[in-house]
Amino acid sequence: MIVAVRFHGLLAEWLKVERAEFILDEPARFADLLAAIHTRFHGQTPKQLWGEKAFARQVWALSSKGARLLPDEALEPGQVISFYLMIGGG
Amino acid sequence: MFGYHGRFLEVDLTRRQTRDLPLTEDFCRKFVGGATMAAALVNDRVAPGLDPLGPDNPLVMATGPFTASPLPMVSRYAVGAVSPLTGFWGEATSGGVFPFRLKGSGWDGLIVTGRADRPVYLYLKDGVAEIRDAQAFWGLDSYAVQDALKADTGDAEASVAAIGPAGEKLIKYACIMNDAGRAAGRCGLGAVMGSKNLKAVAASGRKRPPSADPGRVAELAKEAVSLISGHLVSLALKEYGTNMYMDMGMVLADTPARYFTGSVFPAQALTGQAFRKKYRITNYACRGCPIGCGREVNEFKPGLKVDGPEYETVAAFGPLVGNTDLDLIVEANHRCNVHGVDTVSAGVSIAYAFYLFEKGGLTRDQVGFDLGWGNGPAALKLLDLVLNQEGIGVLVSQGTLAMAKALGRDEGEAAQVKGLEFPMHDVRSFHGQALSYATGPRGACHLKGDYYNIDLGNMVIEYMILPGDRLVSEGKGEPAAKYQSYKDLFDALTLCKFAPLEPTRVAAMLGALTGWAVTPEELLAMGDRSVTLKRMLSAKFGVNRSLDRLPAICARALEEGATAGITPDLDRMLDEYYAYRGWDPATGLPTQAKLAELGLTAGTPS
Repeated sequence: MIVAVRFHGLLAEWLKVERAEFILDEPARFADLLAAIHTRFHGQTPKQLWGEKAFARQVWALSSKGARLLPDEALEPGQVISFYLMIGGG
Repeated sequence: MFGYHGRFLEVDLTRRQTRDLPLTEDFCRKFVGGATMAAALVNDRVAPGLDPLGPDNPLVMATGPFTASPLPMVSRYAVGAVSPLTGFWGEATSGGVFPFRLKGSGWDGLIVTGRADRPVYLYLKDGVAEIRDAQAFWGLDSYAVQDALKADTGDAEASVAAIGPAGEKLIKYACIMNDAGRAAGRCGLGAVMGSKNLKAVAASGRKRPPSADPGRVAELAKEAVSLISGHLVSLALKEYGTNMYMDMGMVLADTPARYFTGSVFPAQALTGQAFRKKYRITNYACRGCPIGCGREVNEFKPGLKVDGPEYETVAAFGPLVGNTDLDLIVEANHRCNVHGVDTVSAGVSIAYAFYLFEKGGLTRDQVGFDLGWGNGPAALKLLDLVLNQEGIGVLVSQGTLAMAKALGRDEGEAAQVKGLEFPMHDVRSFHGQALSYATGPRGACHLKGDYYNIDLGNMVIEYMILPGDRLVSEGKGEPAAKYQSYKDLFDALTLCKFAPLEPTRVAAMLGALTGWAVTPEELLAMGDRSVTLKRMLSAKFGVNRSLDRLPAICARALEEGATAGITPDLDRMLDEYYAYRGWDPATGLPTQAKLAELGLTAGTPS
């Protein structure tokens, strides 16, 4: 199945892409998407985001309905997921 | 004594006299420095009934044991006095070079009382203090006066902290500017300077107190630079400044919109990325900082480089009034800087006027023009009325609480706690932040502590302050209280809030500088003492549990965004908070036992 992702803010700048699509085997969980992102973009982010766990910990991924996704959550074909860097300040 | 000069400069402007105020080591260890030491000195000198804009309100500028040391992110100083905006304890901090120079002048800080019979400025250098005439500089804006006083002293290394026209006009949220666009922004302390006819303090010199263990200090500094430089937040701050948070803030419903009645707005138009696409942005760093979160907009107008804006300002003059025009936000920020006013209180007060206009509480006849959401030019026009003290601007310059009272509105409409306007983090989005605002030592404050950062995934493991569900109130009272104490201490040491340093490391730094054997536990106790001291100080002027409240406008559940239908349970958190602090849950005031434990029963030795 195909899921679409949108990277926002600094993530988009670091990854040099705002939108991307991933083909995942069904049934797919959010953790599978994280692994696919890691495979495609590894090395393009600062080292603090390298690795699936580090990436998952420091990004905020939202489904199109606005809910935060957790690693075990099942994905649906055609789903659009937005990623934000989870940092605050100011 | 290590880490301190061991003396403050006491200035009596009425008599035009200066003298040294010696500090004992016990006093320093008890009250650390910065905002905490300022509170201790002010507490000893004020009584109920004080007029914040009268000559008896002491104004303190204070450095801490970290200031001007080789450690990174320590070029900060604190200003403290009874706030003319809130009527309670008021404090503000700023970075830049001025803190280095203030400590280099040979004092740990200064305490100013009285009122000069004509405008003056202070020039401190290498242990010599002068009260100089400032008649010729009165009326200059906050940038021009800094340049003029450097020229007047003939001292190229002098750094100046000054008020602009807003401080002279006693605008209730006037601030103190230094090193061009840095601001000790909150609580209206610029008006206190103005009330004393004190235009500025120019500081210079290279006097540094010795460290107890210079080798260890150097080692800790090197480690800290490495740690800070490699932190993800530091990287983000370096890229976008504090406005890195705008899109995330909207997604989380943390960035308020339309005067706290909404949380959904076109954030993409206002991000750090959007600013960088539109303008040529350069970084600015305080002295000794490896991050450089400050922003400068180059060629904003032909030949004009302006400072900022910070996230708080972008939000306050952006979504809070429904505006997405970047030019207007940069312009508003610049005008606030030039005149010297706090962009948070100014932006929130202006947004309240927009809200009132929508609700019929202000009319076109009263304002002189329309204030519809999204009307950025109207926000700028209203800001000008505030800065020039004209028309409705006179009322808006008093802050939201005074506006509500004057217009006969429900005070729950005023987005403030204890008179200090809400910053740009929505309490419905982070319940721990709601508690921090309600109990903040100076009123609604997102810096003591920034609990939203904890529930975003940060932690202070030594104190068991761990991330939790941001939309849950239960269990937040104690960690939020501890975090408030820890972050309060940053303004005593002085250490930038963006320094991602854990208590063990901070305690080691303090120990290496002063020679004291400080543990993380003592560090937390220092923070607890600081918060309780400030509470006692404000209690003289009427603070108690009844004022640890959130205004209805900011706490009632929204109908849109990620927090729709959600509101924090403040009373539950308050009970937990008072229990940790050892404050009476009925009154919200410290118990005698707690005061004795913290060494605050016998008054503060000054």
